[in-house]
Amino acid sequence: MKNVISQIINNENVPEIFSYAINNIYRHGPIDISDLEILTYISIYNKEYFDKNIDKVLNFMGIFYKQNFQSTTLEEVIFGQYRKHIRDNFNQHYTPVQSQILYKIENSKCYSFSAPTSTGKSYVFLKKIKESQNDVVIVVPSRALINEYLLKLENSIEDKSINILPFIDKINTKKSKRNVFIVTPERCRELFKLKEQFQINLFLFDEAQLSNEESTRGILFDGIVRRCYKNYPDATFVFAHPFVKNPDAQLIKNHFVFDEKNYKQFNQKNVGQIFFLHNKSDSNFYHFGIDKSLMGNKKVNSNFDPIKKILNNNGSVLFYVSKASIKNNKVFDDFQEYINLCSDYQAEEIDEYLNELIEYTGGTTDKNRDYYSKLISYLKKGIVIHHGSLPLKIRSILEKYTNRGFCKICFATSTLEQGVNMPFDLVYLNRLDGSKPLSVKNLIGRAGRSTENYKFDFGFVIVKNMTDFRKIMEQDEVLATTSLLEINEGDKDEEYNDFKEAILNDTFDDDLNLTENQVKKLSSEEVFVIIKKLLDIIFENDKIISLETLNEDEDEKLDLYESFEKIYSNYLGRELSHGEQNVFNTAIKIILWKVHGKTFKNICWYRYSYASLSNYRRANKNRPNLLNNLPAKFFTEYSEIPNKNLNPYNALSGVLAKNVDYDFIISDTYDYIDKLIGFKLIDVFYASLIKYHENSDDYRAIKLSKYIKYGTDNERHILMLRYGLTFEDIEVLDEHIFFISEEEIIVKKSIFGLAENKRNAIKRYI
Amino acid sequence: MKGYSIIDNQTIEPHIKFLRINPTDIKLTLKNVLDSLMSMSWLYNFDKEYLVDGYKERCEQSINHISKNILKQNDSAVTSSSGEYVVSELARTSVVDTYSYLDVPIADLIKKQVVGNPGFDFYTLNSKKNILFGEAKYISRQSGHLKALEQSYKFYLQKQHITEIPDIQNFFCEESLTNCNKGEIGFMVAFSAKKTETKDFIEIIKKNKDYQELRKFKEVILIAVNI
Repeated sequence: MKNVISQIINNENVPEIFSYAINNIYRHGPIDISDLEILTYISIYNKEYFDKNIDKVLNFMGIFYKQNFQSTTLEEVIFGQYRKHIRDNFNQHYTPVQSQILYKIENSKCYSFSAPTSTGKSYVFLKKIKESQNDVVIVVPSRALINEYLLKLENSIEDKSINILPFIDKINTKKSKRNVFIVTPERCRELFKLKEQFQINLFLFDEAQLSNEESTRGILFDGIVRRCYKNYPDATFVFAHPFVKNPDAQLIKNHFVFDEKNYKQFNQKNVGQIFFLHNKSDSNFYHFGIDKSLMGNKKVNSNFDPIKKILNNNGSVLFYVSKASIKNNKVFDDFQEYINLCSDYQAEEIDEYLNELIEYTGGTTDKNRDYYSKLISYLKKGIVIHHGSLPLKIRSILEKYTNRGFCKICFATSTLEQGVNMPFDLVYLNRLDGSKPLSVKNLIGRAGRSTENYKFDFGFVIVKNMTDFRKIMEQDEVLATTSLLEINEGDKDEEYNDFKEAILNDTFDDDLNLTENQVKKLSSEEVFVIIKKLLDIIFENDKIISLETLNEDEDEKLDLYESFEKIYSNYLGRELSHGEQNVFNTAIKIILWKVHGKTFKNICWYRYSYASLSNYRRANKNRPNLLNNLPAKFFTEYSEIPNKNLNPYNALSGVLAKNVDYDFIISDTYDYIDKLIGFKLIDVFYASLIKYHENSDDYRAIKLSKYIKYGTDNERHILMLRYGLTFEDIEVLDEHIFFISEEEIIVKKSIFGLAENKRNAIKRYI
Repeated sequence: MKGYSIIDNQTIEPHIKFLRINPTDIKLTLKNVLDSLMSMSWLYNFDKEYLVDGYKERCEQSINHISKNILKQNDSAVTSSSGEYVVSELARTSVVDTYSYLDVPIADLIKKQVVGNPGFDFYTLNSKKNILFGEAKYISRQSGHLKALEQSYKFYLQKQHITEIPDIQNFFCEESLTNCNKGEIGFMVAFSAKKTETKDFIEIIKKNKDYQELRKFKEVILIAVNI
């Protein structure tokens, strides 16, 4: 059999081709990419024939969750029997893959598996989490995924006696019976501080391929797995991966006791896919198959534009693009004709999302005003812009918006860890370079939404380069079977080696989140002298000095910045380069704003106002010639530090002041807060202050450490933060909370006068 | 246990025979078919560990349900699909037992058969090294002889006996395959039979134009299954 695509399009030998594919599926399951391509092509180009055979397709694929499922031949009865068998056992119409995962989790102490993106593993996990009698820990690679789990679990677990927490903590003890913790490996460390207080019977490591990452995160992941296994030997350990060929690697590398029943690679898919080439030169779309010998050597002209087809049928499209192309607006020009196909929603349908975003970011949808945000404005049309530098709060709102079905087009810079983890009808890969093959496969897996309707679900994937794409699709993803913890790596820097040693020797300081060596560097006499000076500057009569006072005395301000820098230099063991200094000083500025209670919106405003000279422009609004030539201020965007080769540069070089993009300011500010301050600087400053306090008994150090870690030293507010409220939430909810402790929250009646979305953050505790 | 009894065995012409059989245990036949189908499906290897008990139980329920429907002549898609398998399997075993022809077990046939692909349903080899191609037809409320004859000859015209050779060649010797290529083959025409008497069947069949074509071949066995 060959040239299958052309044959189907020309309506030649369709019954034979169908038989070929369906017979394969009957025998081997829906695992071969070509079989599913064939079904998809027939369902598009010969719908009548396909519909006559739909029972076979859905039965043999084992898509048992379809409504009105029926079996009409004896072969189908086999599958129907199996469906009933699953239903009898689990009370749900799971697929064979889902039921096997459940069975294995229930009957093994450890289970490691991999499965394609559309497997529906989250339904299975949800069942296990719900049924668990004790505490559950879910470990995921990123905070974005924590958020996603949180949303899902909060929506589906109504029982308020189950705490669902994005960190390890013992709170709400009076009202809760057990906890579900969703944490990153970094946050999971807290578990061992409170070890005796929890009874954990399930550890769920999702997207566990993080273990393969050649970085401190990969090492930390393995370290955490081992510590959990050692400390909770009676718990069940589950590892989930997308696509990887050898899920047993996880068990081998972390020394689990297991046999061949404890792992499996699932290749079964629930949706079909076909692939298009978008040819730049003639702007046409072409069909092509992954297996050339079967599907055809040559690309075949598509008689429709797949993007238009999907959008016109109210479907959804994901464009995978680079962050740079979002920043410079190129993607919006490139795909303008599709953006134009999206008409505006009625205001009342989507206003709640827009308003929430405007309130949080301070942006506006008026193109002619300062603080204009394309990200918010595009939501009116159903267009979502999504990338890794969006604050979690914004992501949550966008994900809710997408979940409600409003998203027509999503522009995403999606790596697995950062993207919207949702299915689309079409995925357009505008780039393949610089992406991990596993992430690309994961992304492709999002093409095709599985529905409960009695139909064959499929999705489209569009690429710009067939050869590279085929290579990725045909490549196996293999995890290393030896942990980096056991490998002698000669070429790594001191910080990395130090970290690795600490994990191996169990000498990592969980309280301070640093290695022993790092803590030692921050406990030197030299650092203590600097800290004393810093405290003397920043406190005035036991209170943190106001920003106004600080700004009045330029020398003192410089001294303060220099003190922070010196602490960091000591930690690094070297002076900062000029480029690093620029980034570092911007971070300190943001820390100081946060210490003074400035919200995210405030900080974005300040930075925008500075960069775009908004006050100056307002004062000169009647001088268009001046404004049309006025450049933006020198702007230091976030860069990863330490990096001694970093040169200072102006991120707004060539940009006019009036054209500064507010969305850029939002994401850059979040990058500073999340990637630099939250991930690195807080630990350094917090540890140095704690150590100084141990040495000097200077209570100001504790006070500042709280400001730096939590943004406040108010114990009541710190408790609220521990319950998962943000400062934005606290601003609204504080006055309605009568009492708060580790045991419970008691609210005032007035809280029920607030709109539901204002109460959301606290609803599980009241 | 054979699952059937022969109630008529006639020779119409030296190379044309007529068998009429009564199923004695439809459930047994169905179970054989279902077991073979199951063992060929991906579920079988996918889930050996946990499937076994649950499947057996379910299988029994399905067999009871389907056989009841076949006996009641209920006309549903499942009944007709199952009925065809039952007719095919009973015809196959009765030919093998009666004439001591080559036994190509149902499991092997299902292995070969392409799900959803039209083609002959079963095969055997006679003592003169002619491959016999079997076609089974089940119709719930009437006899299926005419349809079975028509389909058999249609497959021949479509050269199905040649195109299927790659799938079945492992069952047969070199000589029989050479004969097949020369068109020296035979047919087994199996069908569900209702109340029509054997002699009336034979009379009707003799007048049928497709039968007239088929009788030109090396051997024809007509198998009426009372179902």
